[in-house]
Amino acid sequence: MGLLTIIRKSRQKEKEMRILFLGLDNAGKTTILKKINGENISSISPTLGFNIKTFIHRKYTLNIWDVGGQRTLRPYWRNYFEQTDGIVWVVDSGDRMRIQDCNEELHNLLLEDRLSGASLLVFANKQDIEGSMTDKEIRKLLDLPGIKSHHWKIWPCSAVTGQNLVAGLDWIVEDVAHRLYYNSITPGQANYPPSALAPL
Amino acid sequence: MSETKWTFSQKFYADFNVTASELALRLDAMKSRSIVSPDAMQTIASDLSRMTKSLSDATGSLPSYDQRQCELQLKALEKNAEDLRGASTSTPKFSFKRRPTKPKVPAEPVSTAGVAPTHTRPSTSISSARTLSSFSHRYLTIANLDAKDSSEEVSISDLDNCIVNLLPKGGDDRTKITAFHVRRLSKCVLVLPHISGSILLYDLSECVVVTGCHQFRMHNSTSVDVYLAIESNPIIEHCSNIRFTGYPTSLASDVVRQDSNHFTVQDFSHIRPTPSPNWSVLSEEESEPRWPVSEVDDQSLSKELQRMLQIRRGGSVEGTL
Repeated sequence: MGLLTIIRKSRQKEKEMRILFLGLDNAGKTTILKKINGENISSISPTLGFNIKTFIHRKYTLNIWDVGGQRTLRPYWRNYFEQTDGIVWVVDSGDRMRIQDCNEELHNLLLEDRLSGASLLVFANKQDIEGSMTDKEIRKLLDLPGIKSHHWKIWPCSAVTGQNLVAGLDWIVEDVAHRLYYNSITPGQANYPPSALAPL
Repeated sequence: MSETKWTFSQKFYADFNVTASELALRLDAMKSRSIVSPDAMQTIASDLSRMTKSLSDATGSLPSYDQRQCELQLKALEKNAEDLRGASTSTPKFSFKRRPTKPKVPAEPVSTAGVAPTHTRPSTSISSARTLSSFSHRYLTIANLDAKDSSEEVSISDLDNCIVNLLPKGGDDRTKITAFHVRRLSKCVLVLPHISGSILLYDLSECVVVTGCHQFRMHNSTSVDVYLAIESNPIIEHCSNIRFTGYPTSLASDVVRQDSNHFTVQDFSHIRPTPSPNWSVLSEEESEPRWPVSEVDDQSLSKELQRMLQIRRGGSVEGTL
């Protein structure tokens, strides 16, 4: 066993990622997390403060921070920025009235130095609701193509049905892994389309 | 907390307040003169960033309440400065550019001028939600809901002195609505069905709200009685004089009536161990009025409204005795 193997093995053990779940209140951040974890989602209260979830996903240990989106809590988001590898921005696709608000909060967030380089996954949540905005619409309304500072991707999803939750998580985990653990990536993991890396 | 820390935080808080109020005065002065020089703006910006830095340096040495107060103050100042900057930059744009819009104005009829501003920003956003907006002294039902598209979200806004009854009529007992967004209501009675999604309320005053939902959020409202069926904790933010009780049994049979004692309302503007002064539980005896669920004409409308809102007022007087 050579030195390189030993180093790789030790790195393998500590493959950790820190992921921040943010978005306006009522977006469904906590519900998405609970759904992914297979927990009951029927009586979730608006988050006062934050939740932390740690679980293993595709060989990586994810530390997920889910911070409440209520207006009074938003100034505290910045307390959680340090060492963030990925941001998951959750959008309530039915909430047309506050989509502008959502746009502003997102773009303010992306100006933050401590988040530079973090991958950005946008979840267009609540797709199960009839008449909600499509991911295409949201992509435009949130001005996503204007984001040059971060790798980003938008996924339509539903926390209630579970649609695309894992697929979205897969994307962000692989995008972060590609950046952080480039050398130790297995061929199977590296085969996502280059378009996901460099969105136009 | 150690002695030095204590004196530091005292001094810091005092100094911070002085600087903040001085800055506020300067901003006010600029606003009132409505002349904003880029130099002055620059100074303000650098002062603000200095304050932000000193505050973040002091993190850990300040009691969290003081820290929060300072942050709030700073936030308000930043917003003021931002507004002012916005105002100052829009002025030169107005006078120099806009060539192409000028010839348009005489060419098109006046009516478009009125329509244009509403279409500038949220045209795509608001058009397809079902809405109930801008009514006064009316009894409103599902029939008034602009239902030309299938959206399951309903927005209710800008009503005064109205009774809104959106309970499903007759046969269809299950509603398809999944979310309510309610804004700017005063002196209204709102009777809503039990929905599977959330309800968000902003800027209500002197209202009575009946609803059942998955999550309940109320913002910037005062003097509202809420009759609620809910499994999670309802929350309020920047509200005062709000009273909660269970969903009326007389209005829905399939809703499990909850004991009003079970309510744990979370007040986001009062995150402290002490009970929030902004809400209370409406006791059962005073919470079973006769609901105005059948349509009334204009004359009896005001009577009905008065009766309903009287219950609210009467109750609150009793509560303070």
